[in-house]
This record gives sequence, C-alpha cells and structure tokens, in this order.
Amino acid sequence: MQKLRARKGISSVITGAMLLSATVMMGTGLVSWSNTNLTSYQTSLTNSYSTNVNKLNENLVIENVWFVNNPQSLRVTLTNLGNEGLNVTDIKLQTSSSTQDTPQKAIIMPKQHTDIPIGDAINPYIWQSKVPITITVTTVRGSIFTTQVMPP
Amino acid sequence: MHLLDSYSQTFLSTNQERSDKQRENFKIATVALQGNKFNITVQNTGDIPINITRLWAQDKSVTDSFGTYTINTNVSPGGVATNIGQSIALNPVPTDSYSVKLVTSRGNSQQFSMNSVSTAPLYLQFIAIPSTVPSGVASELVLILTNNGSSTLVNVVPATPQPIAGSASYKPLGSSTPPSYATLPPGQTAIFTWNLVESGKDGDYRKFSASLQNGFPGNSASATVTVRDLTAASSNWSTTWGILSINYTTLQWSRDNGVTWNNAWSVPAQTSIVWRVNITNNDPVRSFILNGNTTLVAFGASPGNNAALPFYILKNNYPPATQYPTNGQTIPSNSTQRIVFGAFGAGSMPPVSFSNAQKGQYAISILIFGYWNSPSSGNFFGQNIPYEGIIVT
Repeated sequence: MQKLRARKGISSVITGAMLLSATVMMGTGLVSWSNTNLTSYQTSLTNSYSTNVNKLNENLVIENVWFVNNPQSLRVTLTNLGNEGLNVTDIKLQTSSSTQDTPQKAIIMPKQHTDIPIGDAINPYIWQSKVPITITVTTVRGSIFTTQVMPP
Repeated sequence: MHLLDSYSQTFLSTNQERSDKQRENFKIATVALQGNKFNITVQNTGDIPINITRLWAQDKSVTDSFGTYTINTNVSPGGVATNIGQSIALNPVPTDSYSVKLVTSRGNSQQFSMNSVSTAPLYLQFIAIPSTVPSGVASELVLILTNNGSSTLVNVVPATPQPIAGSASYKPLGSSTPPSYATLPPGQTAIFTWNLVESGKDGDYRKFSASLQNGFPGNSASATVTVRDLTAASSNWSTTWGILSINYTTLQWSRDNGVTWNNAWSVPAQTSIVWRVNITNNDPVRSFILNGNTTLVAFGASPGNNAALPFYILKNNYPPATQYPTNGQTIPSNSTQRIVFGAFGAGSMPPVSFSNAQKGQYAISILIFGYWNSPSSGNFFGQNIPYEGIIVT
C-alpha cells in the first residue's frame, strides 16, 4: 500500500511538470507569433503611411501646352509645385474620337518644370483645330492630374 | 499615434495649399507695346499675395515660335504690378500676332492674345463731316474702327486716305489725329480724323478710301466729299454771309481827298464823298479778285426817299483817285484789305455826292463782285454785305 501511495505522488509531479512545460511552450509560441505579426503590421502601416503622404504631397500643374505645327505634335509643360520629386509615368490624350496613351519616365524635382514632347517627325501627334483635348497625367504614385486644351 | 498625427498634419497642409490656390485671383488690367516690348499691368484681385513666375509667348504669325520668360514679380492683394514684359528678352513684332500667358507660383494662369490688324477684317466706318461743303471750306474725314475680335489689337495705324474717284482738288492730307493706337482691346473703338480742304466747281467731288497700315487685304471703307458753290442770289444770302465780311468799324468817309477820314454817321451833302472799308476774305484757300462793278450803295431810308446812290470801287492807292480796272485788287485767302469807293460808274472816277434833295437817312450796303482764284477760273462770286446807317445832312 505504501509503494502504491509513493507511485501516485510521483505521477502527480510528472503531470504537473508536463502541464507547466506545455503551458510555457504554448505561451512562448503565442508571444513570438504576436510579436511577428505586430512588426509586420507596423511595417505595412509605415509603408502605407509613406505612400499616402507622398501621394498627398504631390502637386503637379499642367502649366502650358504648345501646339506644334511642324511636325504636328504637342509640347506639354509640367511644373512640380510640391516639395517632393515625382515621376510622371503616363500622359493620356483624349478627344471625342480618339484616345492615345504615351508612357513616360519623367522625373520632375520639386519647384522645377519640364517640357514633354508628344509626337515627333516619325510619329506625329495629329491634333485637329478647335477639337478639345483632355490631357491626363499619371504619376508613379498613382496621382492623376488633368486639364483640357483647345488647339488653335 | 505619431503616424496619425503626422498624416493629419500633411493632410491639413496640402489642403491649405489647395485652398490658397483657389483663393488666388488676378487679372491682366492693361496690355501695351512700349519701346518694342510688352508692357503688361497685372492686378491682384484676390486676398492673398501672388507671384508671377513666368510668361509664355507664342508668335502666331511665325510657325512654331515659342518662348518662356522668367518674370518673378510679387503682387500684394489688391495691388498692381506694372511694366511686366519690359525687362525680358522678348521683342514683339508689331505686325505679328501673339498669344501670351502669365503663370503664378501656385500654378494659376491668365492668358490673352494680341493680334495684328492684318489677322482678320475689322469693322471700319469712314465718313465725311460734312459731306457737302463750299469750295475751299474745311471738312473732316473720320475713320471709325471697332475691334470686333476677341483679342487685343496692337499697333493700329491708319493709312492716309487715298482718292479713288472724282476730280475736285484738295490739299494733301496730313497725318491723322491721333496718329495711332498702341493697343485696342476687344469691343473698343478707335477714331482717326483728317482735315480736308476741297475745292472745285459746283458738283465736283472726291471719293476717298481709308484703310489701316498693314491691314487685312481689302478691309477698307470710303467716303465722298462734294463741292457745292454758294452764290449770292437773293434766296441764299444768308448762307453766303461770312465768306467775305467787313469790319463795320472801319467804314470811313472823306470829303477832302483823303486828308481827313471820318467815322461819324453824319455825312455832308453837296460834296464829293469817298468811302473806305476793310473787307476780309474768310476763304482758307482761295484768293478773291474784285471786279470793277463792286459798289457801295446808299439806299434812301427816309420816308419818300427812294434814292440808291452808288459809289463804285476805286483803286486802293487813293489818293490819288485812280480808275479801277475791270478786274483788279486781290484779297488773298484769310486776309483783309482796304477797299475804296467813290467812282460814279464802273471803271470811272469821282465825284459822287449827295444832293440837298437827297438829305436824310441811308442804309449803306456793299455789293461785291469778283472771282475766286483768278478771273479766268470762271468761278464767279457775288455777295451783298449789309448794312451801315448814315444820315446825309
């Protein structure tokens, strides 16, 4: 009877130790998992913040559009009025009868302006007198700036 | 929390910039060409300061002629910036058309066009005031030009009107008044005038055509000035009065061969009387040659006195009394000469006198006969100049 009582005591200790170990392991895993998650979330939030704030800060103006006759083309002058550089990736020209996308890689530093030719001698952009053109400028951050011009 | 705060600050800042851009407001008050440069006046009509950063100019008369010029002029709210364009390296050609744009630092812009008068036909009116004039009397040619376009016209200079029909002679036209308009905004009117002195026979006319220097081909207007002679027929004395005129205070008489000249209205009878008076030719161009029939006539004005006593013209070297030729003394245009009367007939000599029976009141009238320019011109003229009163005692 005494041997039986002694075995019962050892069993309780082992069970307790096993439970404690399991609890510690599970707790460690949980903490580790949540820490990883939080870091990931924080990184994502920071990236999202930067992207949105930079996009919000983009301030581009289509300052002037010249209609060139020879070769028939456009010269679009863009001015970056913001405090951050921006990258124009696309200029879309839209009339009532046509749409033309012209991919760009134009980096404009803050407070600077740049002329972007649309069309050349080989691939002229044919504008028609008195037919309005909607110009849409897209930046790499996804900002869209638009205006409408009337050829002479 | 830090990120959110930073984000909201950025948002507010961006929002403020966009609000400022919307509040920005300015207008181009005046545009002129001065010293071969643009002279633009800008008024800030908004409530925040603006900075004019650049001027874009396109010469539309030349294929693909573009230019960008730095301005960098600040204008306070309600303020005015002048002389914009005077210090940039752009020298506009007055005969060309320009499209000009001013841009602010916030990206707003104002645009205007300046066109040459050669760009499109303009509404021209050309009138003569009056269109019918006596020979040698000045009239005025008026050219009225309205800018019926939508852009400012520059360098509006009229060409001297050219005769296109008719035979009336005229003095060469000088430059117009004013000589030019530097700019003419849309809807505005320019008025140019020329003085015209036309002469000729009754019915002669001249048709003039007016246009603008470097104007649109065929853009012209015409006006006609017709000469109408004024004659001294009894029906139109009133209209001729004034071409030849006298200074009434210069009428004098002498009974002693010109030793003493009297202004008094009391003239003695029974003695030879010679008269003299200053006559003015008011014609601005033509001289007047007196004919020997020119007479001072005293018409009896007392009851029962129907006498009409003529004193024919004498040569103006009196004394001595010299017969007046058929045609003689010339009164140049716009000048005055003394005329002497005292002969009893045309080309005759004194004496002429009032008799005792002819005493009484008289009205003196001067009948003038002669020619414009020369007796051979065929341009006859007669005029009656009434009246001076005397009493023969």
